[in-house]
Amino acid sequence: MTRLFGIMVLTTFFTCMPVLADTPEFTLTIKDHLFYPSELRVPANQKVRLLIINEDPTPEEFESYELNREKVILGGRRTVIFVGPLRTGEYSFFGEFNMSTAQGILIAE
Amino acid sequence: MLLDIVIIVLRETLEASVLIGVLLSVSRHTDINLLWIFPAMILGTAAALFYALSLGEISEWFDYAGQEVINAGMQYIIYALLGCIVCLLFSLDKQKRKYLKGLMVASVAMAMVREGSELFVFYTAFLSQPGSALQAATSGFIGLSVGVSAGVIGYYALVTQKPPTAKAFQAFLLVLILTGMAMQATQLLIQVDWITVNEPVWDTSWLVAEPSATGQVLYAVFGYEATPSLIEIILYFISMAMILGPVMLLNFFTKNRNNEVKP
Amino acid sequence: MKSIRTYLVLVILSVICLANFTAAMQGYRGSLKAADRLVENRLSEKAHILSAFLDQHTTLPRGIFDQQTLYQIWDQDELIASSINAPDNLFAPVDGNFHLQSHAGDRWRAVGMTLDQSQIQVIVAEKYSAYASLTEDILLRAIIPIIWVLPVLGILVWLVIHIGLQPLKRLANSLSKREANDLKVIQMDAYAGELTPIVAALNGLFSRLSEAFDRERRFSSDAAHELRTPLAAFKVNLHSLGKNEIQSEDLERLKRTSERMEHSIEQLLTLNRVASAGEGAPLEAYDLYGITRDVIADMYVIIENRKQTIELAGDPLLLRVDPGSLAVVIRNLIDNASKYSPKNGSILVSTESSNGMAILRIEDSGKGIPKAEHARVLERFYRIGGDQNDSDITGSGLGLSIVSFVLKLFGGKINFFESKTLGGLGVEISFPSAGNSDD
Repeated sequence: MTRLFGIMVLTTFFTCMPVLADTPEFTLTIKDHLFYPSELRVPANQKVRLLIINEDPTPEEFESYELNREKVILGGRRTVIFVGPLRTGEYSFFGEFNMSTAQGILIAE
Repeated sequence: MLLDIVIIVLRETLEASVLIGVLLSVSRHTDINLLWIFPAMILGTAAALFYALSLGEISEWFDYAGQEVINAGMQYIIYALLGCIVCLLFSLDKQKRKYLKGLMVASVAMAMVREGSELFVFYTAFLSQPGSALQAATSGFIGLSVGVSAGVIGYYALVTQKPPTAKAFQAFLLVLILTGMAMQATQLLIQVDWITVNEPVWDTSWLVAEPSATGQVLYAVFGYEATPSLIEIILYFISMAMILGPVMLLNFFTKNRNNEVKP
Repeated sequence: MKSIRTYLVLVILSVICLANFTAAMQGYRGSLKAADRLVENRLSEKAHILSAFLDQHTTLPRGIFDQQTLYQIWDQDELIASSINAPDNLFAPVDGNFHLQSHAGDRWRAVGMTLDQSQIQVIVAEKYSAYASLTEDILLRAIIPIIWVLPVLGILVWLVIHIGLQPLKRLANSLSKREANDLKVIQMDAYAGELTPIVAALNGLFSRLSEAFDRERRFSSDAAHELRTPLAAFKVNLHSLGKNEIQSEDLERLKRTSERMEHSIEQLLTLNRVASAGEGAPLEAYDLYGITRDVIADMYVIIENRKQTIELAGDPLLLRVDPGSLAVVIRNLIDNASKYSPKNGSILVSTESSNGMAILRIEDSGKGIPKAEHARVLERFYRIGGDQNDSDITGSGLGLSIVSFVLKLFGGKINFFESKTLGGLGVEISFPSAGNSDD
């Protein structure tokens, strides 16, 4: 069993090809339970690094079903997630803890 | 909005309750006292609180990838623990079954850590808003009772079966759940670019949308994903094969031995 | 499944809970949509009011709507009029659809439309939070009782199932409280229809069992009676043989065998009598000391013939045990003590009360029984040393088995010990004491 688990970890690492260089970074700010900008434009067919800054004192969870992303950002902290490469189109995201206000769209073009 | 909160709570509780229901039915069939669930839940809750309190610190590790890496690690450990449970179910050596209880306590506690810590973070945020107590209590009540109901129905659906059928279903569900765990871990590592992916291979959101109730249940049971990428699919089947392989071998040897004994 | 009741309560509650919550959430979601449509209609109306103003006035009153509403009027790319709280850029796409926009720390529901036969575009938006909290409040008032009624439902379901399972519980109780030899039929009409087949099957079993018992009882008593008559004739014949001055050891042995046979038959009959008398403890209490004294008085001649002494010590003790059966027990035990004691031996009988138990002890000055044999002597037809037992002692091996049978019937216990005063075997039987007669 442990050997199998070891193989699992190894396969994971082999598929890891961190491409830190030339990954464009975009910033998304959370303030008063709103996303700024609420429409974020990113290049299509390319991996993108999203820096999310939570300026509220309360935590928020960045979530998007269409992007398969989900992450808790505690109050006053920041975090990073990677998105894409995406086909051109619109991908909605929201703050799960304040869904009525924290809504946004990521537009890949 | 009540609906939104209920969905958040359900997402966190459903997975754990389905797992607990299946494991309790395994205990019933292997004559293990069901009371292990209480220490497991207490341990899980305590660990979840501790994890929630150190989440801020952890999230900044590995260039903001700390949360995902730790969560993925926990998911892989649950995967391994459940894998051992499935193998033990098919093991010839009944002596080894004494490890089942420990494995079950560990896997339930682990499964509760991530979900529990997210719920804790959510409720601390939610309760800071004025006039939210009724909604918090209602959503918590719904989440808890729907979770318990799903667990109870799953438990009795399995317990009322004949032992061989029940064992087959238990193993089937456990393999689905543990593969789902590995799938979630993969998604977490993709999110922080520890695993690089290409475009999604297919999109089944027209069939079952992830935000829908069905989508949530399927996510809880086997980590449903409407738009998976190639690597996710490959890793999904590798993680499933790694458990099914030993199980089939064990089953094969059991049958062989039975054949030798018969004449 | 361990308990039917737990299963029913848990599964029914779970199903109700899932169905109830799904229904409540569906209703909640539907109502939210309806509320949204209401707001959208109001937005369209506001846009039309604005356009009506535009037709008649060139300037619009800036405060035409409240703070919760904003508007912009564009002529191609030029903002020609707007509310105070509106931004300077195009607030929402002008496509006739409804959009959610972030602005001034809030979400706004906006619609933009082009007026007929002109290039004038009107955008109207309303603060989301202003109406969202209102609709949420209305919906919660409708939904929350439906959800919190669940614990009440739980209690009701539990009660209903508890009541529904009462007949089953009653049947189980009446069966478990039954005496072992109570084979009376169960009253069928007292139970619900689903239980009728079970009750009928049990009744059939009971009547067959009691018939079998009767047959067995009749058989042994008939057999014993049938054997008695030829045996009596046999003994008479033996007696006449002895008179004919034929003296031989074989004749003596034949006499002893016939005595043993007679004893066995008597014991068999006693066993039968005791078995049919033992239908539970009698209502009246009897004095253990008195019964013992009467038995000793009856047996005094036999004991004196063997030149043995017997002594009785103790106080009156009340018991709820059938006196005939108790006398059989005591007679058997004293008879044993006398049989296995040598000539000029002595027997000590004593009664004592301790911890709510009435105790009778019979000690003798015989050889005693080895400890390892204590459990086996109670078995039917068991004799110490097997059939090679001292042949001058008449016994069938039934005596102690009758004793243990009676003890079982009345909840008594038997213990063997080594007598300290006389050196032989000590037998101790104990019954729950009747205590005070008002008990």
